[in-house]
Amino acid sequence: MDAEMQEIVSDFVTEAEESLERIDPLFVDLETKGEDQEILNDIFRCLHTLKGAAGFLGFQQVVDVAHASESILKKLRDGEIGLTKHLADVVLRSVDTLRVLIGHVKHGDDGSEDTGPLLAALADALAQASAKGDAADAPLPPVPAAAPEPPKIVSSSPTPVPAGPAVKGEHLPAPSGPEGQRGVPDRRDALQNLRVDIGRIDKVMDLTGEVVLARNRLLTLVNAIGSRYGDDPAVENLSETVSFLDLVTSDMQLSVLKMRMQPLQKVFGKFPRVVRDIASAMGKDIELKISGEETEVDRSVIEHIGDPLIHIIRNAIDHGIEPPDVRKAKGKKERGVISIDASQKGTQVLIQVSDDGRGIDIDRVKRKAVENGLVTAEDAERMTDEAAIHLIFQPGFTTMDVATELSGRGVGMDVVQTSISRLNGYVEIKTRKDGGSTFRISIPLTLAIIQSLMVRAGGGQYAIPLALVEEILRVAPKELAVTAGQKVLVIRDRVHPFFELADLLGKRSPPDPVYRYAVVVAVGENRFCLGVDNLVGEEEVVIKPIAGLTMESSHMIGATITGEGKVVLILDLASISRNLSGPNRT
Amino acid sequence: MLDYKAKILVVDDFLTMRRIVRNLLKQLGYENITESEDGENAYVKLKGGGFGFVISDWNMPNLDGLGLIRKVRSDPELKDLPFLMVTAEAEKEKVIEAIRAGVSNYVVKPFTAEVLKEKIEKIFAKAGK
Amino acid sequence: MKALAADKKVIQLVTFRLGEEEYGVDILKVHEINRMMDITSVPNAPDCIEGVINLRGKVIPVINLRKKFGLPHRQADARSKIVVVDVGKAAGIIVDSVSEVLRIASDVIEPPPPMTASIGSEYILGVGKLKDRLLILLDIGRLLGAAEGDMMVKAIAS
Repeated sequence: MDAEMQEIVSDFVTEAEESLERIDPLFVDLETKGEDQEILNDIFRCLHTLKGAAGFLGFQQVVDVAHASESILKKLRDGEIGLTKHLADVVLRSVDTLRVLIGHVKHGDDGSEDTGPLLAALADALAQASAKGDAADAPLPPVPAAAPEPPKIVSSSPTPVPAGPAVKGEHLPAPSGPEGQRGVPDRRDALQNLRVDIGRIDKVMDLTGEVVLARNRLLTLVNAIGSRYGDDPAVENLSETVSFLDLVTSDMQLSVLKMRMQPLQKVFGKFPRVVRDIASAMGKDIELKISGEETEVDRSVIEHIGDPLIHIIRNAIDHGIEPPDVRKAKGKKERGVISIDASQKGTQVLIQVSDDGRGIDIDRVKRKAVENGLVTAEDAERMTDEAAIHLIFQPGFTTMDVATELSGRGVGMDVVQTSISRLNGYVEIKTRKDGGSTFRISIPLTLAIIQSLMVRAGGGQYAIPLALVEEILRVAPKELAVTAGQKVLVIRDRVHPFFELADLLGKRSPPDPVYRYAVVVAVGENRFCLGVDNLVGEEEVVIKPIAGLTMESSHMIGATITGEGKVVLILDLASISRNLSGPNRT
Repeated sequence: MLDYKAKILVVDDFLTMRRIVRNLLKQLGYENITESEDGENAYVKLKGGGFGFVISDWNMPNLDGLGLIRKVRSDPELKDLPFLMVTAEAEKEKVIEAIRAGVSNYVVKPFTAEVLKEKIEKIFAKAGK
Repeated sequence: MKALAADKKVIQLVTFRLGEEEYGVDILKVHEINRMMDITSVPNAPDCIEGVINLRGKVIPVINLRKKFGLPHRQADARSKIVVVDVGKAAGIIVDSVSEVLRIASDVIEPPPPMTASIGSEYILGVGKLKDRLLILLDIGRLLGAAEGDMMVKAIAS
């Protein structure tokens, strides 16, 4: 394949993936709003263009599948047949298959799929729908035994569609309005946009990081020179130029970061379909509310936040929301609600996933954790509710005995914690019996550059992410009290546990000086003080990974290089906080 | 025959398709190519003048290929502009509709450079008469 | 002719001293050799990880080979060097001194004796028999892998 062709194919993959991504939410919308011409045509066009380009490039399987489902959409659009859940299911299945096929193209693995059964199912669904003609609006009759469709898809529907859709994407963008295209740039603006290989942006990003470091070094040098030869006009000039460079560098850094930002819609767009499928498979009736999907985050967040969120959503449907009859018995609305909300809070992004289900039974979690050998019975007894809930994130924690159709897997929630930690974020859980649960995830907007507070402790220098620092106090040793063997600091009548940073890092604590500094840190609801020897200052730092070292045991998220060229480690406050409130603490 | 320096407008909402058509045209020796991603945008570009040939997709948002050809043919400045319509299927009714609307010729996806060349030759042989 | 050429393959080694022994590392795996520099220690890291250094903007771990091999501690001096090796991942190795770059024929290298007295024998590729001395060829990939492994073990234990 020549370079030109390769480029065309890679463009095709990108566009195809975008088109397919648009179809899922459109479909869920369709099931909610009934047969909307605009939406039907939109879906039709996605499949149609995909087929056209695939034909040129010789991806026959893509052509076949796209063609078969496009034929259904065409008839739907032209009002020749009506939309049934069966039709929706089979078209969505083909969208999934198309995704797999495009995946093969993307990876150039020449893989193929057995599309025979799917094509048969598509043809069959079309034939059935055509035969029914106008009667298609009526609730779906039982599928004849001869249908090749896997029975679970049809029989698991708790309510017929479209008479009572299982999922209602109330806050999804309106299909026909201009914002209906959100997540995909407005077509008319497309010529103003440039597709740039992400590798190139990352390269610019890396280089910017280097420039930021060099700038920091220059600032340090200029300060040193300035204090020595302050009267020299050349030095004055130098320091002016460096100040200018300083400003421009900050702007440049921000611009580059923005280049990597994408709206969370890219991730949230998949959820209506996910909720629809899981709810339908488990016989639950669930409404999904999404808000704040326009919040922009770094693309690395986009890449890695999807899986943990889907895990939480799955868990909410599986364990949280009760079946309709149980809800009715409890006096709740039969339809459960899952809401996902995103917002920006300073330099952090907050994503909340709430359900109005049965809530997490903390006593049961404790019992299970003891059974699974994660904590001793005594530890469990002493544990605060907050610490106990976090046990569900422990590897090896399962609640397998509540067998639902899906949860035979017992896939651990530890995946959630791990993925979010990797993004330098943390999760908190709020729960109330029969009032539902809320998972609050906080992640930095961008991962590469953070504001930090430089401190010295135990003979070393460390960077503390400033976003999580509440305040800094100068304290004399006598201000520290000890309750139940724990040093505490009372700040405005509130008791904060106090830990020597040096102790936490396994370094020797220095002899008691007259004054120390207490850095008050808030990781979610968990507030504590870190005792440090000295403050060095605030600095914008570029987070660098340390290749070949697993940093988790060190309570570090990475390292950075200071203006003087020294390596300084950056504290992972979430990991420290976990360790402090975790069951292993003595 | 179409002049190799002629300005050609390729209209398709799918970037990949535009690139494919551009690539095919390049193989035939045409380099002066402009792109549009829907009928409306194409019409604005055509009104800007200087185009010698249009290759347009049928199914597009905003203004589709059929809408574009109708607009082009009813515009005194553009009414004679050679216009090749790209369709997905050789559906008889559709083809007839396109021809009635005034397309110079049509081509069914997917097509090769040779097919494209043939179509262009036909269009310009007719135009030359 | 061909067979002869293969037998006579020459490899280039960077050689360095550590205690009483002289070691060699394939020059293709050596990125550069640096003077001792500021090393930032990493909390809760295994003993043999001395810390991390700034290698022109990159942060890489540094392994104290003396500790890794259980040799007695020795204060770094002017002759101490950090050999930066690169086997997919870069890392520094602290050595007592760097001797030279040596070309040796591959046929003078023998497999490690089954009962090597020296410590760290699992990281030895072979022994080069020179005219006047023995040279221990280090398996640097394995050494780095092991250092990383130590880190993982620690993570699980904590």
